[in-house]
Amino acid sequence: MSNGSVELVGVVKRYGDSPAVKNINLYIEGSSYCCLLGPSGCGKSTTLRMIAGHESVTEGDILLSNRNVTDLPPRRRGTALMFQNYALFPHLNSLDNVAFSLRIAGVAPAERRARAREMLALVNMEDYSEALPDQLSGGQQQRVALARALINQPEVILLDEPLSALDPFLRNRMRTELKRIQKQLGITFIHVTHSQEEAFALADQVVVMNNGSIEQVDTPPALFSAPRTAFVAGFIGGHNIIEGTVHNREILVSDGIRLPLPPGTEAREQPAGVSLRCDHISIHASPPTNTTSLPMTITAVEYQGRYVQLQGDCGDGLSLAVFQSDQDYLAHPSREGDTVHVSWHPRDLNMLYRTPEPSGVSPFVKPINEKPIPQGETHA
Amino acid sequence: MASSRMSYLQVTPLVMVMLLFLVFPVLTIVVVSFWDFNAYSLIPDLIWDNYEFLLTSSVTLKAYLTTLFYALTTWLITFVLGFTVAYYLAFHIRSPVIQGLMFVLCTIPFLTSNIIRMISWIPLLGRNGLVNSGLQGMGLTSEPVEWLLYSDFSVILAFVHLYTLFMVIPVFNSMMRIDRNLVEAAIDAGASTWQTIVRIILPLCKSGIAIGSIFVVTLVMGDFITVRLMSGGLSASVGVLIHNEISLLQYPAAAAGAVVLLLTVLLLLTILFRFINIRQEL
Repeated sequence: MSNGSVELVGVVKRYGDSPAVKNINLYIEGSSYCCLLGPSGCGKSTTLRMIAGHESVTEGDILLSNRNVTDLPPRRRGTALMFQNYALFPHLNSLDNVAFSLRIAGVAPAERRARAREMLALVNMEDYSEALPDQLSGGQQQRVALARALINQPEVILLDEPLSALDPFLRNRMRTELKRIQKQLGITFIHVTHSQEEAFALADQVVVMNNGSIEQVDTPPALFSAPRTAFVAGFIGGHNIIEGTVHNREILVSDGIRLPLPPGTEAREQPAGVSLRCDHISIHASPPTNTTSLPMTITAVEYQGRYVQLQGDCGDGLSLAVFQSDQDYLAHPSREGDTVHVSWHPRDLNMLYRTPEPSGVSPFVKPINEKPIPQGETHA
Repeated sequence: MASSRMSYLQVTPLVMVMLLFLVFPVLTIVVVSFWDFNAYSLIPDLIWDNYEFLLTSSVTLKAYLTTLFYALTTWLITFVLGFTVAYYLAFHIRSPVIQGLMFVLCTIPFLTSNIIRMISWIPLLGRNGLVNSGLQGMGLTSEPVEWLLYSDFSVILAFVHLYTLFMVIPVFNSMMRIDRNLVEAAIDAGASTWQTIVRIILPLCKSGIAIGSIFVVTLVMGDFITVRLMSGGLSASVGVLIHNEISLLQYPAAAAGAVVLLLTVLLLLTILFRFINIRQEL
């Protein structure tokens, strides 16, 4: 069965004694868009290169469409890698770049040209088939690289930070393009990035990595509404991380500050704290009557266009960042040094844990329906 | 205006050096090549006799054929050797430190002079040299192998020994500029090591190979000492002919020989440049 699913089972990569990737278990559904998200050096690129076959696996197995490909050379895996700097052959024109693997495979010139033209048309580059890479812009080179990756009808396309070399405007356009092509061809895309914006915009499934381990696997909305660890909350941004101990449905931030937790949150382990979305905090000029609130002294105001970022101090070592909507801010502008009152709904407090989801669950458990992949089954 | 005058001023030293040490001597040779001479004096003149004699002599033709044969064979061997060595250094040695060390190792023979390096082959290849006594000692041959020394073999051996590094350096240099991702991209496309070399690395080293070829071909074409020493005077290259004429004080004839050789080499280089855009490399 060739469904383009990718499975990593207990995959470890060590360089000498230092582990680059520590025991990763991951299931990526066929025909889905998966983003590996993390800071540089977190092991995301190494993981990608192991799937591509350009990096050997120290321990564990990699399955592609249920075939074990751990020891196969890159070309025989059914993957195609798109490099960060595109790695187009500078001495070949677009057409020959795209047709390169067919030439290696010994396909007749007429046929390989025709197929390469088809691929160039798919990425809207048919007018540039004679151009050398030097004569193309970054975005055009990227399209050619994508066409080159697509020509062998791979089951999985691996993209190593494909958009990082482009300027912001082009990046957004190529992002849309990538998603369109993924949808159109129904191929599994695995995309390495350090930009949460990119991951959220593209992915069906986001894998957040840190220090060679997976921190969390989730759909973008689930990830943003419920980051599991302080690292995830911090990396995706837009969250306040409040450390404290949980006691009696309250979180103890300090002696003076206790924040009520929403009902029904029974922690499986002692949480490290909670996260609170910056845009879920309301600002009041005077203490609201219907809910508990904290006084906050504003220390910094940054205008961001769509919203205004207020940085404030609630005393007792608790400082919060608040995204106030542009309109609200302009209606009641606050200045540095002002004291305001902040409030939120208890359900907006999301528990943070010290460790990623335990990897005791068998990695072989696969999702059986169309639902977003349940967190527990895919975790490392 | 002032800035353009400044630029001219800045290039003046280089222009002076080139005029004095390149253009002036070459012009002198060209002028002298039209002079007449007898056994003991040079007679300023404008005659074509030197060229006529040179271009109609069968000795010249033979010398040119020998020289071209040496140049071509040496080029072929140094190219294969140089490319292999450069490939090994550039793609197989991972650590830059070891890469640097091995590179220095390659240059060690250059710590002694050309002549000494050539002469050191003689005790090795001679009739009673190391190689012959070794072969006989092992019982592989019953009598000394004659073609080891004072033959085309020994000449080409010495050329290869002397000039391979001139091929290694530029080829290595262009290999180091090749993005390693290109090699991975080729592997990703299913190319074998050999296919990667032929389809990707070789075309991308073209300019390096061209520069190396220029070094090797011009050095071999202009050489006379290696041919004289290593062939034991048995074969004559163009350089040897010119050298002989100089020792007989036939300067105008030697000058004519030099002009023709210069034109030949320039012609070869023009052909080479046709294939390769050298500016890319500079």
